[in-house]
Amino acid sequence: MYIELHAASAFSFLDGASTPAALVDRAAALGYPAMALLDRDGVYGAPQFYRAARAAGLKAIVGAELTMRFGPTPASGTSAVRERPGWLLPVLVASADGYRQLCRLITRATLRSPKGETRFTFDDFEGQTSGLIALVGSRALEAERHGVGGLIDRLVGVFGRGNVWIELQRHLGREDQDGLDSLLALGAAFRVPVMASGGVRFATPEARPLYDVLTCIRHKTTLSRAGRRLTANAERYLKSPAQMSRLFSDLPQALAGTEALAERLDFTLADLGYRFPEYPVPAGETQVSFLRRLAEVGARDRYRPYHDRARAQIARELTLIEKLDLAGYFLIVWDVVNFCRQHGILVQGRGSAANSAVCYALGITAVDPVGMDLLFERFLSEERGEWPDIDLDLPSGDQRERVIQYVYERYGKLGAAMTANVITYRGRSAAREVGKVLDLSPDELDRLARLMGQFEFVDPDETLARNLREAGLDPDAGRYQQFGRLWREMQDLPRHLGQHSGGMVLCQGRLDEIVPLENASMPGRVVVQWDKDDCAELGLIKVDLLGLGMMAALEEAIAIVNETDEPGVTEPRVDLAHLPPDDPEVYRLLQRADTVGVFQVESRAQMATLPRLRPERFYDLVVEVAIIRPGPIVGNMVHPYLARRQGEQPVSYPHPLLEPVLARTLGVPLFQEQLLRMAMVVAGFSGGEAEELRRAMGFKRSVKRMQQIETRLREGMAARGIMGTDADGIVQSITSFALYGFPESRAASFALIVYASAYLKVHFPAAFYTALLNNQPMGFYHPATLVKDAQRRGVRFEPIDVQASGWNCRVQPDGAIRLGLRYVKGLRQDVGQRLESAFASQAASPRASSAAPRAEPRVRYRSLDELVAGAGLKQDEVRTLAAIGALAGFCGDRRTALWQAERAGRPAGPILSDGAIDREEAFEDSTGIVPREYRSPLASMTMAERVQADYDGTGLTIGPHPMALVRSALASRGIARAIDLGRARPGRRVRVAGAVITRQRPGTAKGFVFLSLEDETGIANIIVNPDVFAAHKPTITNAPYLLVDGTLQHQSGAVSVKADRVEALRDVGPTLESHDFH
Amino acid sequence: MPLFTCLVADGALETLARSCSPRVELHGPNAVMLDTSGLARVAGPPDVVAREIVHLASAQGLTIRLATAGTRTAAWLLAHAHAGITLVPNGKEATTLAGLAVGWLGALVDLDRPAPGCSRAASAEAYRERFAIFERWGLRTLGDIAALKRADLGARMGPVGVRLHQAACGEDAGPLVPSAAVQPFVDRLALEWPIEGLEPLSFVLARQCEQLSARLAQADRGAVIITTRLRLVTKDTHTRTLHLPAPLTDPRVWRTLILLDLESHPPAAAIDVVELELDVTPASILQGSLLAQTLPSNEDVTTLVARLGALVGETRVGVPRLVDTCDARVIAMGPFHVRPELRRGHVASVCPSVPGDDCAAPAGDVAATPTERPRLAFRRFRIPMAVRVIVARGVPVRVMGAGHGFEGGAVVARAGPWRTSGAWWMLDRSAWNRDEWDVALARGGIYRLARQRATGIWEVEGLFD
Repeated sequence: MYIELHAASAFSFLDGASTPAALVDRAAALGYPAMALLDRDGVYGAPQFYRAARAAGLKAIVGAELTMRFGPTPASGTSAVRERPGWLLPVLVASADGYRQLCRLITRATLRSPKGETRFTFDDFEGQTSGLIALVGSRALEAERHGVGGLIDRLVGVFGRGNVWIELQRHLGREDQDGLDSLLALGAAFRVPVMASGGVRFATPEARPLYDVLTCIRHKTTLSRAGRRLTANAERYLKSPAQMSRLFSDLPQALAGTEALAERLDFTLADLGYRFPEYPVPAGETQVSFLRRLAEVGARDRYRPYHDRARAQIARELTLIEKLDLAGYFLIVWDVVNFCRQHGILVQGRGSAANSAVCYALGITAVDPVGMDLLFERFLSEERGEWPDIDLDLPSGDQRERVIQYVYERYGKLGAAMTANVITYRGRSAAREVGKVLDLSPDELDRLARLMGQFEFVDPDETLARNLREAGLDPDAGRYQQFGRLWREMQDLPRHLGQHSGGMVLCQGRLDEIVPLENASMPGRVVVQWDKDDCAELGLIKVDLLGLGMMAALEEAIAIVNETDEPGVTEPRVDLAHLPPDDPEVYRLLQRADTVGVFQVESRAQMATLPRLRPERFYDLVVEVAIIRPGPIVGNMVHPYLARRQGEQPVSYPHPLLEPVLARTLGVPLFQEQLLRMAMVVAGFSGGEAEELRRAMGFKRSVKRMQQIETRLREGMAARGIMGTDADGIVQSITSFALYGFPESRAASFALIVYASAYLKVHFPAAFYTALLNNQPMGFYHPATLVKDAQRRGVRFEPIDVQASGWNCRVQPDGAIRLGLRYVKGLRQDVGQRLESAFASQAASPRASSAAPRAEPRVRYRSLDELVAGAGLKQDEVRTLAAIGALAGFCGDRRTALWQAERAGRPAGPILSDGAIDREEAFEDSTGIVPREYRSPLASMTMAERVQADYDGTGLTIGPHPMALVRSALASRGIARAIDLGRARPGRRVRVAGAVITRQRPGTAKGFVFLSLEDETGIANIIVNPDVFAAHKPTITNAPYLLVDGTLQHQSGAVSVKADRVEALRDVGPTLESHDFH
Repeated sequence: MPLFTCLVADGALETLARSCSPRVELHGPNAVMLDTSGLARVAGPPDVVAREIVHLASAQGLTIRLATAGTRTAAWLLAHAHAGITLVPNGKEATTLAGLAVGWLGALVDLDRPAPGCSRAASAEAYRERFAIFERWGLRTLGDIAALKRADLGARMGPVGVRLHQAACGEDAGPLVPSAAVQPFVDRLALEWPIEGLEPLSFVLARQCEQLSARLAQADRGAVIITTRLRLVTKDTHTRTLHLPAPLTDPRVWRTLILLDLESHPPAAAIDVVELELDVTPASILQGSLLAQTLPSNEDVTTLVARLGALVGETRVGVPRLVDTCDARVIAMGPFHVRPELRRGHVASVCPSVPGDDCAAPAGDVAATPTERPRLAFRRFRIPMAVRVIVARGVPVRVMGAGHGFEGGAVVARAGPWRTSGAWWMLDRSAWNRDEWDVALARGGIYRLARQRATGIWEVEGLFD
């Protein structure tokens, strides 16, 4: 029987048009018992192929097409790999040893090559081919430089005579037979067996157009210009064994060869031989005993006193950890956390790890699961048979990079790697690529790209045709229909490999024998060829080292606070681990939703909920974090919970048995852990079974599995007398909620950061905003909005000044925030840091962080020319600095600075000199009069011009808000300020205007659009219903300033305007950046 | 006192300008600068001259913008900035310009365009950069710029800054450089008696070609396009255009080519007027070599191709071109000419039968073609013949004749199917999806059959010799 041993999937990145799953589905339908996937220079698609094949009952054979270089290996340092495209050598894996060899081969070749330009040479194969089978086919004929005979001879020498096969393909091309004849003759001459293959590039003939499109993208051309680079026909699809038998009826030995060869290919991904690294323990200790010892010590420190409940829980967890042989995993995560502690890097475990008392005792997490009664089984259970998942939140940026490099260093470059992130074609990217290939005009491309995936919410009526019509394109035109068809087929197809945000895979021994590694775009990073789901599926353990901007901001804010001198104080003023609990001012801030910049609760939706929820204690924050999520919103949990909290609705429970489970959330299930407990209470599930239920009901639902579990659930309930509508209600509640529920442990971890960030905002606003500004981009708002929010809270700002600013913003001794040079658009970081180092070299204090220095140096540079020469500024940089007022120290006003900026760095002769004045003398003039040299004939900037220059040069201003400059005109038109809305009567007609700082159309809001309009007094929330949005779509999506007519709404303190009419507000001033469509 | 007038319009102005003043500086077809200093004695004061020019323009169907000033720069800027007539009293250039927005200085790019051989003038990009600086400085008008010191601007913006300041003050950077009128290479001969037939015409053409050739030689030019206009007794004009592969100067060759072309496309009636017009370029100079292959001259090759074209039809002479497509039916021909590579003797490096850029076919296509075996020549029918074919077990077994000399018969040997498809994205009928079979018939002959997979229609596409 024929077996397909040469198929490539879309994971060959632009050289395959079907997913591995699609190939497997087709193969299963055609009755294949086995199939091989050979993607280009890697095994990218192998896990998905294996998974799909296992489900379909197929044997998934592994292989790869290796891109061979023509000629010898170029000398190191040359870029000869760009000379010619290589030829492809298909290689199949026959054994576990072969798989290891293949992974090592690919790793070696990819690590030495620029991304996407991997080339193999015969030297790479020397001594590395055991368990591998090479196929010599039509692609080898392209290696004419060697001569195919010589090539086969060499391959036989390298791989061994029994491990080289002649591969025959027929695609109904005129030249096929010539190649076949040559290959057959060579096979006979070299005594190499023959086998047939389909050279499959797509599952069905219908996928050929998509394959042509991908080919064009690969060659950076269009369909009309691609010519013979396109495939000549649609024959590279997966044919049935019967079709292949007919096609090769004259070569039965080639058909029989496939079966014979497939029998030899004995390897699948079922057992990769992966082992998690063992943690080196002191002599006389085992992994478990050492973990027990650490947990014991940690628990005594955490629990004061170390009470029985905690002791029992930790003992129970340790027993399970020992039973599942996971002690090494905990120790390695502890080791990473320990490294962070020793180097002063904030770290906090999040995710389900927060359900574990052992993690809490080891210092991995900061939430006490015993105190909060969190469910351990959500983290780890015997039934699940999976590794636990511990995510560590680290400060984003350099600190996180230090931790990542530590892990690389500790486990070796070939023992640890980041997981990949497969970048797939989505709305806009697919639209642009397909459009280009179809030769659509740039204007059409722009319009189509804007249309596709503009919003998270997809209106049921928002069909492609409707969108096209709205964009002024004819939906009935054939080319747009063709575009739509290809665009749809392209969705979710892999485009290239990226790097996961933080997942690291660790391995005992060589990771490059488990999965090929390759260079990431970021220097010093190595990634595996699989994404995190594939790694998890194949049992590879990862530790997530996630960068959290707020962690970096907290770390910096605390450093600023603690470095600020206070007479008589030697202890740090703020310790994140020991913040005063339940600070009333923090809760007052949260209750009035004054939360711009506060972690997790700064979004418009969170701010609308806070006044209704009115948090008064820490657990309320846990609820607040979890409640504005798709699950509770879609499951209609939000309003019942808030109504019950406000006493508008009685607290009730689906069943009396569930009262202990749901009491904390007033009878409304909000957390995943509650779902698990519900199953345990009403149906007698064990913790592991309950977690199994959650997973079965999760995103990757299997109907069969769900039915099995629901049957068990109903049986369990029936045994407890819960039947009929009660049982239906509980099942309904569990099944609907399982899809979206948020883990209580994660919410608790986040709530800690919410509290800490709110605490800093309340008590140390200058340090808080400084840290936020230094860690952008992060959060929901643009720095311009953060500055305005800070100013409204009384925080003073000082402008950017080359004589005083560092690269980062910093708090001055007088408490004002000095803006940093990092906000100067176009200023190179090394130049900014050179300016800062000039500052540091002259500063009295060696502490040159963003914290306040002890003494302000008077000057860094004595003249503008000295500045330009010393810092190596370019002309554009000088101009920008002058325009934003950063050269005030030399030149006085901005226009004078701009006048001088054009002279700076250009030595003038005596004729063109502005005036013969001694520069030093001029600089030392301390009378406050601008020296004559620095006078200019230009008029000073008006306030509006200064604001415009600020936004142009820094993206923000510490001057008046642009709306303030037009306020008098707006007031005469009856336009209210944002601050006025809270004082007006609900139901009143109001007009409000402002700069659009956010536009949202959430998937859960049924087409409603939410806008935030900022003016000089604050932020006005606007709600736009779908009809109004449809009527004013271009204005709402494009205009930087809006004027809204609508009805004022008050809902328990949350103020908003329901828009009736929206128009663009013109001639206001600079365009503020908005965060759109979150 | 010097007086300059600038005219700007949407139409061609040269003729109008030359009818007003002998000293004309051309700046493209739509803007001219005239020296109108001497017109006062002829036509009157500047306002009268201006009105007269506008009147003349109007008579020619042109709506012009006109500005007269004591400097070219002021006249130029004001003509671009203001509609209608602008007259600047002498010495008031700077005052008049003061109110203009800075952006109008951008028009200087065309005025200051250097004459051949002069140093380069500032680019539009250089001007844009300076305008951005003016904007940052808060300068809105030319008056704002003029108020600054020129030395200050020079120190900050270099020569461009100085020039902009000059312009803002209405000062010139250079004198008016009159443009010489371009002489067209046209020869028109009105015949006393109409002539019929090409033989008498050849004598006329010989004389005209000789005259034009002499003028071309003086101008050191060669003809690349020859346009022949024959006004017929029927009042119609018979026009033929010849594109020459290389600049030719030999009048005998021109005449031969024109006559050969007219043999293929004769006029419909007797000829009243013969007009020849040449498009010219600098003549090419060929350097012979002792080492290079001796090849016919451009004149000989062009004449030969023209003769062949006249003999077999223009569309049937040329060289086959390789077309980048998988559709084997597509053929293309290009004009034949001797390529420079051949002249230099680099025959081996030349892409066979593919001139110039047409060599861009995917690499390996030529090299991959096996050359060892003898090949049959395939003779493609100009119009494929539709046939009926009996198919058994998926292969053609008998072809039914379709007349036209093709009788069909039993298939005794076959090869195929060779399947190709493509152009699926084309919304017209260019998409194709077909199977080809090469079949040997019992009655003799090897033919290529093709089956359209969408319609099932069979065709005989040609035969193998």
